[in-house]
Amino acid sequence: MNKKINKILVANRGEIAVRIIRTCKELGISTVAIYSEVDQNAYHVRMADECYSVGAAPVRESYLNQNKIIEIAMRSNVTAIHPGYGFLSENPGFVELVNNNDLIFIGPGADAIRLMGDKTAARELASSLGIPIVPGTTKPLSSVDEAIEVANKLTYPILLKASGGGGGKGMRIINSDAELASGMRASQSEAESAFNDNRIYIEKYIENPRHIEVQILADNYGNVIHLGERECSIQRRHQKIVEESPSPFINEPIREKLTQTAIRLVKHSGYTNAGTVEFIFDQEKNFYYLEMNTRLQVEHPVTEMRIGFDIVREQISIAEGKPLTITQKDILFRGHAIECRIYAEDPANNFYPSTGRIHSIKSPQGLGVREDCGVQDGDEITTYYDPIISKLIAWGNTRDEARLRMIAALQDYELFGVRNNIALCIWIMNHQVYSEGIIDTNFLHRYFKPEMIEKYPDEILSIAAITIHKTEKDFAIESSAKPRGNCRSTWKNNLTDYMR
Amino acid sequence: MKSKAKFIFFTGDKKIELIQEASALRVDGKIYCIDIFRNSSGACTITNGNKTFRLYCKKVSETEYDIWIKHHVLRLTVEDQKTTLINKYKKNVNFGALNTSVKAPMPGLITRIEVKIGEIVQPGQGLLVLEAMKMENEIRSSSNCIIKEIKVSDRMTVEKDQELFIIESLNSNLSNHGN
Repeated sequence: MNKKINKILVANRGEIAVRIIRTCKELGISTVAIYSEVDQNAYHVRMADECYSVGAAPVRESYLNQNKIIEIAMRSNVTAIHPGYGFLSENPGFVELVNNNDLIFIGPGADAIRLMGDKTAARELASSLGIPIVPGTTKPLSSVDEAIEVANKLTYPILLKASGGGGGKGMRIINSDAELASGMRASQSEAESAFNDNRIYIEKYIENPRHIEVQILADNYGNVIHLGERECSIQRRHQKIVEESPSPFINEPIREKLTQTAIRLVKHSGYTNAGTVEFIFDQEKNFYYLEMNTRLQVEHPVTEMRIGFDIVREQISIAEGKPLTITQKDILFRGHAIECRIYAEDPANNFYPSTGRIHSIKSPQGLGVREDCGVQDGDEITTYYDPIISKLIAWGNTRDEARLRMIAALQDYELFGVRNNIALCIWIMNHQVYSEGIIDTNFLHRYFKPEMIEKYPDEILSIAAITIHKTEKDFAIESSAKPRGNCRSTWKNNLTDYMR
Repeated sequence: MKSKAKFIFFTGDKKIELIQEASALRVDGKIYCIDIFRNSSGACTITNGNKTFRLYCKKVSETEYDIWIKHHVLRLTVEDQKTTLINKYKKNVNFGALNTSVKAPMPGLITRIEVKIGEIVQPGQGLLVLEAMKMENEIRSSSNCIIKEIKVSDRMTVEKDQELFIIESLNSNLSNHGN
């Protein structure tokens, strides 16, 4: 099973495709990018050595189009496929298809994904090993009636979750019988479009939980190590915004118990390659197994910054059939790292996604600052894909040093043309409760109000007004407003009147 | 012949008053000396005395502008003298019921319309489901109103700010600023 990988097709887009290609370049591995119609000029396409069109913009016709991706892999003569996260990364059928075509899938085997990626089967396994799981069903729901019965036994609120995958897709908090039927419909259709699998299950909703996960690496020879934990409690719509390592919530004995639990589960599942075991902590520091993400995770750079070790590089090495290049005692944890996900969305307006052309993106720089970005100047953010633009990571000797460095980096970040959450991230980093590390997944819900990031200094407002005034006079401002015949804007008329 | 022209801007509830004088600009009573340099990407560098800012301005409608400045994104609405007069008139007259529109808060695909014409909806009630960036977003009513007209259909792709519904508000306390 040892086979040197010298050319990789990255079956993804955006920042994660860029990040994977970067490691490949370091290793002298050739790269192949795939792109949908709207991504033809995307950053990941420009980064790769070769690129191939994979289909129309909707994911089903492009980044989820398994046969087309295999066809491109064969045509471009690659050795392996890296799936990134999302899309086909946790699809065991795709792994088999890849293997059946004599290609290497950089990730776990199909059986391990089937077992651990299927959230309900994994809950059953954890439970059988005596690992505490969040109360709920270990089988997918078959009907609304069954859901109502289970929900009432657990008592509301409950969570509906997709069996087929994570990332918050298909997840809903349900507070009563009345919400259950429509909630199930919405969850099922979201799960169907995200994972091509509409099965959902119920979990008791734990109040004010903290989300802490363990990064693991496993080779094909039974070696499993952990790379420490990450706390990801700052979320909106069940999707993470801020992650950090180490968690400010747990001490060394709990950390030891947590990481050993993760390793035990991974060993029993026959899992290989990189993966993440997610846990929920209640306020009494009891932890419950939540689910396993059988892929490289969005927030993996937080771990990399602390240990100075490239997880994607190790993924490739494991996929080549090599034993782990490091042992547990080689892993040295240093300092504290925080990641903010920069999303194209409007926190002041319900976190609705926003679209548009990026007119200027300038990344912050400096000691301990890393950015994994998927776009460049002139790129377009469309409605077809996830709104993540980039990930900003700050490292410091202490949590506070990392936090202050993150604030400075965010303030230095220039992202013009799409609405984004940079102001929100600054607000979070500056929040007293966050700075004390007392966070849980309801942090934003509890403390955040849109007006908190809509307080603009007078100088900013004045400059904004003057700029509009001056540019309307001196330049034609780029306009997304549809022209209405020859009718000139009242603003212009007004100016002309005045100028006469 | 006037030597001064006055322009009013709004962002949210905040009002900004700009006065163009013979050789200076006065905003909320304070004089500003501002230089604007435009670079190739469309962004501007603004100097205000001893301070420098980078900024990007985009016109989104006849009277609305989005401004990116530092980490802030603000929408400014320009009010000319005609609108000032209309708003003044609006404040003095009780229109009773008024038809307004519900607009799409983001671009996306309509996957489900949850109301019918003539239906009375409560605040918080779902109107339609808009799918964008792999998430389903339910657009909810912010007021107690009657659905007068449905401007979109199932499986239709809509742009941000496109009209979705015409509604008649059933609340007597109408807001008279903005739409």
